[in-house]
Amino acid sequence: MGLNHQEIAAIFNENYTGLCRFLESLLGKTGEAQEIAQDCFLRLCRAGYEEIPTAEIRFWLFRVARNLALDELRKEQTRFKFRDLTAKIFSAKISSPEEKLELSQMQKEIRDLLKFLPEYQRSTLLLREQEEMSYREIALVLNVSEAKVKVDIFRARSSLRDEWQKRQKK
Amino acid sequence: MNCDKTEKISEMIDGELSPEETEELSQHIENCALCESARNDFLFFREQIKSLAEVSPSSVRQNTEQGLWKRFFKKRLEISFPVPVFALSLVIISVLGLWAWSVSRKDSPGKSVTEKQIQKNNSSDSQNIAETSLARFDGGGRAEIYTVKNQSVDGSAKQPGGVK
Repeated sequence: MGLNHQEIAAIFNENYTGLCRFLESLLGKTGEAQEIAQDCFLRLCRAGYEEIPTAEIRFWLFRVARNLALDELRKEQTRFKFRDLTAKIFSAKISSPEEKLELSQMQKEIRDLLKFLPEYQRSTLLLREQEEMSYREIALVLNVSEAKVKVDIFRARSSLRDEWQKRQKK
Repeated sequence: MNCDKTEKISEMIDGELSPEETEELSQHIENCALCESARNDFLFFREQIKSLAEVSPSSVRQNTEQGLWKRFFKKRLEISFPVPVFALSLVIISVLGLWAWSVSRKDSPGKSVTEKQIQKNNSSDSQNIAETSLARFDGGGRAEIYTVKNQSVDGSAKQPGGVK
């Protein structure tokens, strides 16, 4: 049985903000987060709500969001290489809009620390801390085992802690 | 440096341990400075990560309403028919149409092919009609039906009744 308009609106209202938050933290910038989040809902429309069990729509959305974010991160790596090369050639500083975003010092440091983590540890930790998903739910989103989720979260926390302490000592 | 129970602390703050395990670990933390420090740090990072990207609902709504419909139709166009393919198709169709028209013009200047064929058919058909008349009245008023051999002008057999 398909979802009606109100149910679709409810899904959107429940999940859109969380998706944006997750994507911003994963990507480390605000620019593409909302676009990718919107893409997720467009894909949900195309996939057909009837195909996905209602209880799993949230996990489906986060899975798609993470995959799209990974694509964006890969593209960004290429762009950065090109940008660095261009900067060297023309000796001009090319700054992105994200660099102009003002954050508190602590938030900046936390974002830097998160970027320091491998992507899969970052995703796992963000889903746990921001979305308060259980290990089972995170495993569904990321399509891995619960044991891996448990280990990744612990390693992410330990890495953040170690790196934080290292920076504090400097 | 970590205690061998530090990994369990990570699970504990996530609510993934049973009540008995949680109780046992809590008692351990009271006596282990390393584990207490680890727990405090893990909870600190949790609060900091939660405070990241506090998205304002009103800005999200505004951006979404403007962005979603625009992206929906843009995506549908891109998926159903990318613009360069559409333009190229138009060019190809135009060229083919012009070519077909020019070929048809070369074949019959003046009259069209169809008109010529109809004229030819009409002349042969009137010949047929004259030959295949089925009823004749002889002098005493008796109708006699003659079966006439149906021959066209060129000698080939044709159906009686002809055309028209």
